[in-house]
Amino acid sequence: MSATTTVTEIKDGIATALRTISGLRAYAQQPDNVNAPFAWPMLDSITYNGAMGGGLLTHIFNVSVVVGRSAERTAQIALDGFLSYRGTSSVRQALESDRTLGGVVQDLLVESASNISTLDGNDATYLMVDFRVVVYA
Amino acid sequence: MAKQVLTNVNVTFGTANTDISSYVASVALTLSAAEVATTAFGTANAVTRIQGLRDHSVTLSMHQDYPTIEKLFYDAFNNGTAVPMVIKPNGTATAGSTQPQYSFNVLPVGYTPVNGAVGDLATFDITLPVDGAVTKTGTGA
Repeated sequence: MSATTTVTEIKDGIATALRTISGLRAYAQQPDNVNAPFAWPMLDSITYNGAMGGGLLTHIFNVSVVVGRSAERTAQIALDGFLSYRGTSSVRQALESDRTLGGVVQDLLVESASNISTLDGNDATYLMVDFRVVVYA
Repeated sequence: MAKQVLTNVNVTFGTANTDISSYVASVALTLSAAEVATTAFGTANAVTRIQGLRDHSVTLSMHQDYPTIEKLFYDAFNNGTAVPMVIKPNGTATAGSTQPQYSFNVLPVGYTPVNGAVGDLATFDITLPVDGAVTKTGTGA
């Protein structure tokens, strides 16, 4: 953990946790193709030197979830599930079920969900949402 | 030695000399002595002073960790006796001119084991009075 943890390890851990949501395709890196529903983490910032000797690194990730075609009711229902605090589709619950991501980090917290918006691709408009995840390594 | 940024201060605490550096967000060792006035009539119209008893302290801003750090500080507080501390500004390297080593005993007289709001990182601040003298070592330091 701490200074020995790589960004790739954290992204892999987040993707693994997201894959516990049935039907959600999760990737450690942004995928090339739009095949909803899918999710991936994007690193927003790292704060180094939270403690002496590299003892605490604070990572802020945006986990983007592309839900489905925005015009479809099923996509809107699925979005509700991803956004819920609890439930089998809850992104928060999936990520916080093991807050060490398999022992890779010290702790994590899904802080918020925001930016519910649309994404254009494959001649369609998709519904998507971002989750802000704070990871302490 | 040039000016430097502190990123790797080495701090050990307790009878087992546990290295707590990776949990330390900030550390301040304050050396202090009482000011004793010696002003008397006929001292050239100026106040004179000498140094009195020394009373040092160390203040730590810590990241909490319940299996390790909490037990270490709770046990020290609960035992109620002075424990050793060592601070070196540049990691674990041997004491020297650019790496002065400060050794002393502290008496745990207070502790905040739970501190924070929802969603906050668990941290605590602690100020420990030094029991006795602070010994500085390191050739040329």
